[in-house]
Amino acid sequence: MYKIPDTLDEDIARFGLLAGGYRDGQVGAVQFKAFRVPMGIYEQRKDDVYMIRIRATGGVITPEQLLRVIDIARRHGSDLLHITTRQEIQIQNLLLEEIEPILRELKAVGLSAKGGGGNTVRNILVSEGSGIFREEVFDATPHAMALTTRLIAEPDSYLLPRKMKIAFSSDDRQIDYAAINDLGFVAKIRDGKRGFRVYAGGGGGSSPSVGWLLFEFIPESELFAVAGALKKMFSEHGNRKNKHKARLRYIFYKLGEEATLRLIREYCDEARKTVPPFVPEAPVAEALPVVYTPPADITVDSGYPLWKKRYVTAQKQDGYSSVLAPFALGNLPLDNQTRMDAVKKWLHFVAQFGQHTLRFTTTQNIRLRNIPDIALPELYLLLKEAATDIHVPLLANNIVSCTGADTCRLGVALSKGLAAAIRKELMNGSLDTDRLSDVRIHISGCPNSCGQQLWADIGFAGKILRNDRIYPGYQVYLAANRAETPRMAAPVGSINARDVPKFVVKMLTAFLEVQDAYPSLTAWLETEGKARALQLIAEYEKVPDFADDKNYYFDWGAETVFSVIGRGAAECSAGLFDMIDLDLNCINEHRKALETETDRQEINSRLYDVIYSSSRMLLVTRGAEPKTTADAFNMFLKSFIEFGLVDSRYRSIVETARDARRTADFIARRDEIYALADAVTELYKNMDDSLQFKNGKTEEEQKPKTEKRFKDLRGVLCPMNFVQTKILLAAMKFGEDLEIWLDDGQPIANVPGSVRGEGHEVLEQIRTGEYWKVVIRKR
Amino acid sequence: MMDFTPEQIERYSRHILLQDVGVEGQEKISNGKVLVIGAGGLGAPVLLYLAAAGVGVIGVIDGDTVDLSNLQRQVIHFTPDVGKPKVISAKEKIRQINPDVKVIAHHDLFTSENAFELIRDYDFIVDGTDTFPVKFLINDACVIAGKPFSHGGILRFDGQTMTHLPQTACYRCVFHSPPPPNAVPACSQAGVLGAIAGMLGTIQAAEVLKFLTGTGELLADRLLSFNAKTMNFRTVKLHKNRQCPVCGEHPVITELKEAEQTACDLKQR
Repeated sequence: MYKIPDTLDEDIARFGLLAGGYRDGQVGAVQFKAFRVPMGIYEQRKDDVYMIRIRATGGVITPEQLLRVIDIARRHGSDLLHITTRQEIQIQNLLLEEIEPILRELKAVGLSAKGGGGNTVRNILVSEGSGIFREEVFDATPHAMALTTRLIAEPDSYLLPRKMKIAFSSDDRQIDYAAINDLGFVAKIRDGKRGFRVYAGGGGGSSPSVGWLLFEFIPESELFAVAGALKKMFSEHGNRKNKHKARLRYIFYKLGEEATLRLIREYCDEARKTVPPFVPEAPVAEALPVVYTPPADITVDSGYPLWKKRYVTAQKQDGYSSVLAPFALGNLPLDNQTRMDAVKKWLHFVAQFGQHTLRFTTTQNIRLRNIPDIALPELYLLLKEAATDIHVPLLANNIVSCTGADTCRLGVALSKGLAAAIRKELMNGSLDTDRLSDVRIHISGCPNSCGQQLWADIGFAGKILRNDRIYPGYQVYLAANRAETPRMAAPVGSINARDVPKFVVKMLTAFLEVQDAYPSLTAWLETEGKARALQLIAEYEKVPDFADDKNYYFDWGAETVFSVIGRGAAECSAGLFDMIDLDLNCINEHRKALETETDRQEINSRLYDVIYSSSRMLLVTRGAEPKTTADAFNMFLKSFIEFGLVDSRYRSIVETARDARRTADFIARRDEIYALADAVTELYKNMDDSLQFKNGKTEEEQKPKTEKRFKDLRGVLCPMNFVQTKILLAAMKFGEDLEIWLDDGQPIANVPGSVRGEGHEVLEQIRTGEYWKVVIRKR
Repeated sequence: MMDFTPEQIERYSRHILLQDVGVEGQEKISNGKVLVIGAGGLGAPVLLYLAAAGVGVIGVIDGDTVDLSNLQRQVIHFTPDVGKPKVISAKEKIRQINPDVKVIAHHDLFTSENAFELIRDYDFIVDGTDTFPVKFLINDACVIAGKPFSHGGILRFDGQTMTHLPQTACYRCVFHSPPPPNAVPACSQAGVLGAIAGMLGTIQAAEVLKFLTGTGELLADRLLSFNAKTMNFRTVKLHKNRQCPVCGEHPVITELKEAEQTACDLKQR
């Protein structure tokens, strides 16, 4: 295990003081957050509910520690433990006052949460099979442990420009996360000496990249020097002004590959002179082999052989096995007493085989190790009793998904719902998934990379698609190479959400037919598989009309029709730009076609389409979602022409298109139509990140003059914003107007409706940047 | 319009949100003056909810002190209050719930001598007493003075309540005169399920708030009764009695007479 720095007690005490001050209103939210997050404590989606993220280098935790974590969590009112894709465990749903005592109790069992969040050195990953899988070069766990101990004791590890992620791979033919972390170490032996190939600058978020090869080989003694050098270089050159462009890879983008690598190497040379070498500790002789005699009366059921085939891997140590204990989406609920007792029972059972028996995996499960083969039947029965999903194919338990739009503000699609749907489709079908247990399917609810779709064999990232209406869809990614020559999965096209499970099964079925002819799934996906995927995407491209089959317009697990209204501003942008680009592309295609088109009817029709796309293109930025064609024209007239964003001379052409559709004669007005399209495109070009239009009025100018009453209710939560609105309206005369500004999300979703519910008139409701402007007439 | 402070806006936000209450309604509540007669089983929830709602002035009259046997249902009094005048105990709690409220406490009995003077300054009277003679006294005083009031009574598992407004049926229209002494047992003899005091008292409190805000239909010309064992609630339509001795065409009660005090409780005061 890593060693906890001496300063932790002090940090916990300070946390306690700040938390108390925050509760009493003495300490501001921002100040508190600045200390809280680097301590590994996050506020969850619900206000005043907190989560502690416990560091577990390489997913290592002892059975005793995990039992203690369960106990601590339960005593302090948590109902859920959650295993993360970074091999950590979180205690969720906690009240603030419980945090400090929990941190102390965790420390007493050798665990720390510090560095779990914020701009810090995050939990260090290690291949889950490190130390036990036959294929590995050597066990990198001791290196990761020692590096953790060293880095978490250094104060500057908590003051970086942005987070720094480090991963170790013990298998040079399965580099995996070492290639997509800020710093990656891949075990390698040269001239009989242990060492690492080193990658730097990898990452999967915005502007993703696999790591650049920094050193083909460093001896293990230089581990601390290289890690320290990289941290220092990052600290001194990372972008501290813009957190969206702060990760290490942005230095590569800014300075170029060559210059950046040279810079890092200079820091390394410097560090080698001063930083002490890594000296491997003498391997602790784990009590392997454990003498174990199973009880005589163990009888397994018929499910045992298949389970063993699926979930048990023979270790390189003869007579011992590793077993995967799956946890759906990484969740270990604490509120079911029977299940908890059963989980504790198997943890106690595993504990007798030593401390080195558990690892959290990046697929959010627990890998048990060092289990004597003769103890497997008993373990099988215990896992079964704990109701872990051990009767489903491994593939179904290895689907990775972010939390998605149901709990994430940024989400576009319901990724967890899709994961469940794929799982179901995989299990219902006749597909021999046991021949596919290595396949990685990853899903993110939006173009960010929390579900690591760029590192998948088949990956998906939520996006908005549209015909006349919008519907949920996914960008499809194929063929990440996590093996020897790292490469991110590449986007190949978009597919509606409804057909994704079918798509996955058809892809895998096609692969199984030719599996023997290809060295790997990746190899197939790069060639024939990609062709098959494109063919399927084309097949699924046309979705039925809303009137014919509404299923396509509901996301997986959703109870209401798919919509972007009310989504957080930040990400709406992700899907939003897709929507805008769709219309922009339409306009451009029509104009290109019009250059050569001669058929008068066709010309007329295309000109109409240009007006339509121009009108619809930017509606989404005002939060407007037209349901019909006429809607689109009317909303454009209202939100853009009446608001002065687009010149009013275009009013007539838009009205003509609205009223006469394709029957009107547009040919004579071609220039006018093109000018409209140009005006809208120009407006789009001048839109800033907060969806403000530069040639629109500025915020200051928009502030209404005295004739209208005005109140800025941004930052006022529901229902107080409505209460304030009512108070203002109560003091007004019949027919007077009130303008209020509301935040996106709950406020805009609720207040205007409530105002109408009381009989007042809502004259306008316009998105302006990240907030909404609502004008109410008192009735 | 009165100016609510930000704290008051937040405190009363759930009222302000109600379309039928709103700022205007809360203002009426805050300007309201209500007299609660009796700080016992019914008075306790009435006082608590009126205080929480921010009624501007709450008068409370009760001659009793807190007894250990009261605590089973008189939820405004706590164990350390035993021996304390009930009105003092109640005033202390009200201040803690809502410092906005002005409390006028009378440690006294409600009698024919002080009745008119007591009710004079209030908009609405709540009967939270437990003896028939006093209930009739309250009725007569309010009818003669033209004050609206809420009648309430509980026994064992049963409760009943009605609201009188000037010109609507009064308590005497329905129940001509008090039953003979000992014909009907009092709580202290028959017992009462503690929670029904809360059930009935909160209905009375709701009537007060509806009256103050002018919202909804009051229990005027209606008698609501319930039985907590079956949880059947029913309302009976009432009519003004032309022969009513106090509000009929030829009233015989034109001034207040001392109520015969049939002691409710077995314990000596």
